[in-house]
Amino acid sequence: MRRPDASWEDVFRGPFEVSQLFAMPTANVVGAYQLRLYGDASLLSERDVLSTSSVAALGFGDLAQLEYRQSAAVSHRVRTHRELFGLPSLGVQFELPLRERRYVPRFGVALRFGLPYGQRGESLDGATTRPSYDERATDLYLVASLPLPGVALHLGTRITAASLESTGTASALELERTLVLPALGVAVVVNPRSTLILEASMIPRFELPIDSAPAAIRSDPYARAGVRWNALPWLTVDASVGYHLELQHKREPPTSGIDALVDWDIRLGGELAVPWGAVLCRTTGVFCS
Amino acid sequence: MSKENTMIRTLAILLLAMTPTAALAQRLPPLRPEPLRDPAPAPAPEAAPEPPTTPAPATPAPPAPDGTGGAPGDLGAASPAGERPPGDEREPGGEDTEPARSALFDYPAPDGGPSRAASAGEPSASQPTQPAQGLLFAPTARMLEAGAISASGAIDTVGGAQLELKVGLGGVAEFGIGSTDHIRARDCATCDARIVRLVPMARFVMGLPEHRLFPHQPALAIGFQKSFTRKHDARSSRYAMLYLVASKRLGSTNLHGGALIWDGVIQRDDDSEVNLHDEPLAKRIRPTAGFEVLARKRSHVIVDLTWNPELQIARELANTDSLRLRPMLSWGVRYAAARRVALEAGVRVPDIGDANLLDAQIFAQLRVASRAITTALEGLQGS
Repeated sequence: MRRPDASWEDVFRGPFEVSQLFAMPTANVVGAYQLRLYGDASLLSERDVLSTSSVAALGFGDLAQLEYRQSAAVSHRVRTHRELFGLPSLGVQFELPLRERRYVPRFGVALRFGLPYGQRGESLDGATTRPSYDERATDLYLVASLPLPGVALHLGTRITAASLESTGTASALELERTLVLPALGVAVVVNPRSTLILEASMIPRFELPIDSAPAAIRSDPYARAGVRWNALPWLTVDASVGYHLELQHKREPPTSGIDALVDWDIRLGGELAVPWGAVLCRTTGVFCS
Repeated sequence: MSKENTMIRTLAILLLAMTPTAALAQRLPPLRPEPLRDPAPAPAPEAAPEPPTTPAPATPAPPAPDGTGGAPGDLGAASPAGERPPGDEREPGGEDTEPARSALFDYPAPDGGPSRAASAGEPSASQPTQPAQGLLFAPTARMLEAGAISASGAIDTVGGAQLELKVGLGGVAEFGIGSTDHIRARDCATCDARIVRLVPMARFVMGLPEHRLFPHQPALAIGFQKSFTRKHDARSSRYAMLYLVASKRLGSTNLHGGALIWDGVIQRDDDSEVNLHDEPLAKRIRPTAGFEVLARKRSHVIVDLTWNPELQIARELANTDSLRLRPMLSWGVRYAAARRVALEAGVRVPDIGDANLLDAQIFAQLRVASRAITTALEGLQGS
């Protein structure tokens, strides 16, 4: 709706493409001249820790989007804390320009360059008791999305070069590992404005050296189920229940299985679509179609 | 079979019960639109000056072209016309022009017939609405209308207080935050239990209304409630509850029943922990039930049963704490004082296994609802 005489109602009516489930990117990309901002948070994933994640995606030509993304990861940095956090990256995702056919999936490919996520160290009387670490993950992400009547299936694979390195200490630690992290998502329309979403994926886990336990990079399953409510064409509200299962119980405190309900969390998020091209056209007359 | 596998199977069954499959989506009208939302016309992709992001399908559009939410209008446009719930006698084409109300504002008529709200789409003074249908303290499958807000506050004769603020999400989910005083602690096996005050918690519930999947299907909901860490008695505690409930309206009576699974962790200052999930599932899963009967024009009689954890504190460091579930029975009356205000009062017995009436508490509760967000959203959509 990039017309100078368009009403604000028309400008924000859409349609707007959504390019991800809760955390899993789909094969769709944000539309041209549009920006999408997504964020969610939980106060319940770990004790006294606010866990957040966010995505900002800028669409180009209906085939690509530039994005800043915080992908889910887990850091085990002190004995009693496992922190679910968003690992930042800058990237670009393309939707393959294939002719659309019924029962034929769409495909997307993304390349994301990992930005360092700093885990601050601790010092006592000038002596370092725990060094600082940078965690980072660079991804090649492949995804297929198959829309069916009333339901859509998404299958993706994230090939991640994950690294963990200490900063500012003499005893340097550099650890790298390539992980293959599959992801699966299902979206079911339950009414005209609401979608039930189930997704499960493997996410990287960074284990910092604690006491005698060495550093390690592993992967764990992470699943979420919840509802996306399209409150307005340009505003969606997400709420979901999530669970991170630690596969290898190598560390203290010993982790429990899926029956440990206290380890589940509730996340609340929202996504805002900004039709910046249409807004600029309406206000200044540029970027009009 | 391991405890974990049992849990996974239970969860899978619950989720399958909640999730219409693609086949169901094609064959049945389960995904028929709830008539209360989206009176705004669906944006026609061809009317947009920009080419659509994705070409229009050759066949009638499925409800979710991308499954990621997409444009609400697209989803709405895909709703099959002419599919109605049993007993829905509205004129064809009327569902989008006269939005009905969800359970929040719907209310059974005193004679047990169809509610006026359901037939006329609006509550009235003679057919009072209430801020939330449901039981006193046990969970139900009734969902708030999309965007509706419900707030409640309760006090009792032992100084307990309970607060909750919740919002309806899309008519199929609710998110709420608040505090509860249903968690209790006991200092010794023979001591009286006392409440742990103001345990903060959050709740997320997903559900389907009645008649959605098939005629006479009860409303179904799966909910998860979790507390924030609460420090008390030189301990930190966290609790969580997963439940599946069904609700069915029969004339002027609402019946509710289901099962709930509790978990809890008590951590002492010395980092030692007691976990309820270390117990067998049979010791953590309990039934919950209740009913509401419209006894007078504005008054319901309500009885419900639910379970809450009780912490038995070990005073000696050498001994460990323990967590047990206790059955709580409540009965009382809800009076619809105004369109969106309800007063409740009654009695609850925190542990009916104790058979100690001196332990019973008299409570009063106020519930208030608001459609302010719903109205604002409708205004923003130009409806």
